[in-house]
Amino acid sequence: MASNAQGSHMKALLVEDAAVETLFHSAILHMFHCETTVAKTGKEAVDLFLEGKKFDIVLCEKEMPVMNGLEAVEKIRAIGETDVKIVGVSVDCNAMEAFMSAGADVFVPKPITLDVLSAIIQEIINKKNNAMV
Amino acid sequence: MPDTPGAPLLRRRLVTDMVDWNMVLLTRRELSIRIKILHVINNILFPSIYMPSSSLHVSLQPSQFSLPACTIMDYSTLRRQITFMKKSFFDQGYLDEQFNQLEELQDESSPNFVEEVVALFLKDSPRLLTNIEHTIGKYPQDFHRLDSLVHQLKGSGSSIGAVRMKNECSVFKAHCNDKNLEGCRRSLQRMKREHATLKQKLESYFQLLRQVAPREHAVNSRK
Repeated sequence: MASNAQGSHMKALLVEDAAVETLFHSAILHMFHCETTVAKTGKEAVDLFLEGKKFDIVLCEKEMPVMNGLEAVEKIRAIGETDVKIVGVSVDCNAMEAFMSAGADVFVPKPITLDVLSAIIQEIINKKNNAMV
Repeated sequence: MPDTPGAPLLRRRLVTDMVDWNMVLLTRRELSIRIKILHVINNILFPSIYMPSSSLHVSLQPSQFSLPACTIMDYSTLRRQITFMKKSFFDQGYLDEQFNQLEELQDESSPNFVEEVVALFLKDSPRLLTNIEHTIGKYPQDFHRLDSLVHQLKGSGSSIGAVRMKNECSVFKAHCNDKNLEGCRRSLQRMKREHATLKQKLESYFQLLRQVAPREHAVNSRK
């Protein structure tokens, strides 16, 4: 399962304010050899992109202080970051429509499973490999 | 000397009781009394009783009141108890498959990952419960704030597989949507009870796990 995405060395941005979920999702991303940066608010995430940081995948929680995930996704897309795979995550299953409207590529209800993330990461790897050909 | 009637059942119960004692914080005096009782039963009533070779060797440290690692119970019995305990958490609906996901993330580089995540949840969740209680008591009611707090608790609980907590959070959120303060109050009380029960069970579970950990670490390091 995880072996398909081994060696990916992708850059991941985890936008999450809760400590437990940060620890859990960081561990999952680490299992897939992702270099992970954590932003605790939507604003921190947007600022990273404004600073010129590049990421292959963004896992973005919906409810956060200062700037929530939906607003962050809108702003990230608005500054021209259309290639990065944005995964909206929330324990609120009704958040899918809002995330997709904001510009997310996919919504995954929490907690994320290894299988689901593996498939998403593999898709990103395939896309990158196809782009190189 | 042949076994007295009922001896096998009593032997099993005695072994089980010893495990239960591992889960209970004992004072030095209580521990001493229970060890003496075990000696009496072993030597007088059931001379053929099986006692592990490491049994009854207890080293007490002055600052500790719980039984120290891997002393009374032999390793394989302890392992069985751990497996049984974990299965009971699933069967009774306290944990779901997400807990197994945590264990899949545990490896040699993070040998205590599951306990770390659970410990973080048990440290963080009381704060959220307290904040929810304070917010319920405020006037005018702030259901948006309540919803936000329980959202955090639901997310953290679901990350460790705490399915009863997660479900009760869903009930609470529904009461928030309906602006039903009394419903929120009742749900909070159930959440607190579920949290207390889950905390006790998980702490007992990891206390047992820690007792086998030194031996398993020694086995793994020989590989």
